[in-house]
Amino acid sequence: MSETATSTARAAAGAGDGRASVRPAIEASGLTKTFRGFTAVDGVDISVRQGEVVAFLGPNGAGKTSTIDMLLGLSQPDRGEVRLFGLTPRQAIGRGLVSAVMQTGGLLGDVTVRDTMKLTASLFAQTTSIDAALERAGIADIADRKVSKCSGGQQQRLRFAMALVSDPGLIVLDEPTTGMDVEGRHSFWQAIHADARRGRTVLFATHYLEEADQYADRIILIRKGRIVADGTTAEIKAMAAGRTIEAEWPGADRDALAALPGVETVEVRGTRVVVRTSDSDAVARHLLTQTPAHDVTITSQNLEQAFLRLTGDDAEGARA
Amino acid sequence: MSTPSLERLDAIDPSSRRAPALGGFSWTFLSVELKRLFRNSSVVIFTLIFPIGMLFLVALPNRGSSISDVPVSAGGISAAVPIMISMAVYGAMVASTMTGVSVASERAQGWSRQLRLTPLNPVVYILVKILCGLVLGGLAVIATIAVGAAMGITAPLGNLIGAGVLAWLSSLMMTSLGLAVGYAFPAQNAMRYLGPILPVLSFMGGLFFPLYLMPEGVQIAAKFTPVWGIANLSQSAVVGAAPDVWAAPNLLVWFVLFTAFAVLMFRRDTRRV
Repeated sequence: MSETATSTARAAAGAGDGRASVRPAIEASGLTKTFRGFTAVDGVDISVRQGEVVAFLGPNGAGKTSTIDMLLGLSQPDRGEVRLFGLTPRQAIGRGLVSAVMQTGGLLGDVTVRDTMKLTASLFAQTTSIDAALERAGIADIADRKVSKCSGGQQQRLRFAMALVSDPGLIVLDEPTTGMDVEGRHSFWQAIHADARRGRTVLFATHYLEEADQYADRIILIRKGRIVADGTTAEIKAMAAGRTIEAEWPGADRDALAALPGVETVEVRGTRVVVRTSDSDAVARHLLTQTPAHDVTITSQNLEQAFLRLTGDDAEGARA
Repeated sequence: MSTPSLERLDAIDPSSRRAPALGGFSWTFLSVELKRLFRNSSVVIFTLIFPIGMLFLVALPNRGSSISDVPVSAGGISAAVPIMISMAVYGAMVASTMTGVSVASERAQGWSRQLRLTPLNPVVYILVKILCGLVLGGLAVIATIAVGAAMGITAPLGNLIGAGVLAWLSSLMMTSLGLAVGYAFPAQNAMRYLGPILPVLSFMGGLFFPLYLMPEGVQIAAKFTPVWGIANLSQSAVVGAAPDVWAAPNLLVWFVLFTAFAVLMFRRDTRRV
């Protein structure tokens, strides 16, 4: 499924749909980054069309931040290439086409919110009004406050306002809601979503499955520096709808089970056979009518389990 | 700054956007940077209040004694004049060093990284720091000389201007030192290293105590330290004497060394960010 979803995105990004002149917001191919022998990012390909809202989902340490740093030109890939709107990251940033909201830091404590915005705006050739950006980020009321006196959530909104002021085509957010409470998180995402209505492309990294589910049109799952799934939220959810069937069947015929429609993996644990499938009825019917299997149990996986299955240590099977 | 119309953002033609002129330099940027400097109380204390305080404590009591056979009342230059210019040099030095070293705390706060996500050219950022150092250093020099003049400590105008400009330009060298240390060490260490270094260098350079009253060995060693060149040049200029032949080479060599160190550390830093 990961293959089909990726190729759909590629086809749409290509010349086939009558928008040939529109460059993809992000085109990264074969990104690889190694730190002292540890491969943090291992051949990542990402293509994002303009207007998409994409979640970059993975557990901590999966390589999200390292990938984002390369996308933004903050670090150079050992191998691979990045194009943003057809330009190098530095050129795209120079023209105000791309901005980013980083996880922490990036603010001067001794300056007011408004001065931070004035300073940021002064660095770009074209900007929207500072008040409009503050308004959209929901911090117009604290413009005269010193940054060091702002709460974590307010500082995060300020980072968002700074990212908005150049009216970029693409905003990249690296775990933007870390450390926010539930309410703050919700209203922060509302602000982002309201903003995306004008067609702004958004790529956000998160390790909260919920956030990816609620706020993205498309999810790219990363694990140990590799993309393990890439599809629309609905497709990833369909994956989550899969079930696990277990039955007692000494000497199980694995090949027959694997040939059933919807079966993803077949595992034999002693005398028990464990089948992961998107069509549990077919497997159960087969087991109970065509085989000597007994003691059949069916458990459904939730989104959480699918996520863990795709990103956890035993993920190799899921990718087969 | 112009305002793009609220066009759709999902079919952007990258050529409709342009990069800023001058690598992102703007007067707004410079003015916010200056505002930050002036809000920093330790900067203001060491660049403005300390030198002026020293005028009162050290220069004023020596106002009546002449450095030559001509008494001050008969137009001779007061011993307080070289003290005053030394304090101006010190103020300018501290101003520019502290401006330079501020990159350390900006790096620690992730601000340098944030700036990498804007069109600002890193070299322009450095130039803004140097300009800030020059503005603050210039103010320190002017304030010290103006307060001195108000106390009646004065020399021929030409001498004052020449010495003042020299003191001011010494800022450039010390901004380099500040930037080098600011890029080389983490924020807290940067200030911890520079804090004691500046007074020691000033002492060895003869800003706090006349070198000719020190043992000969110290006098010779002093000539190799970075502040001696600028101290000798500006003190000589203000009394209208010829400087030591090694003063200008000393200033030049240290300026080149500090700047090379700063460029090296800056390069290392931009690779790493």
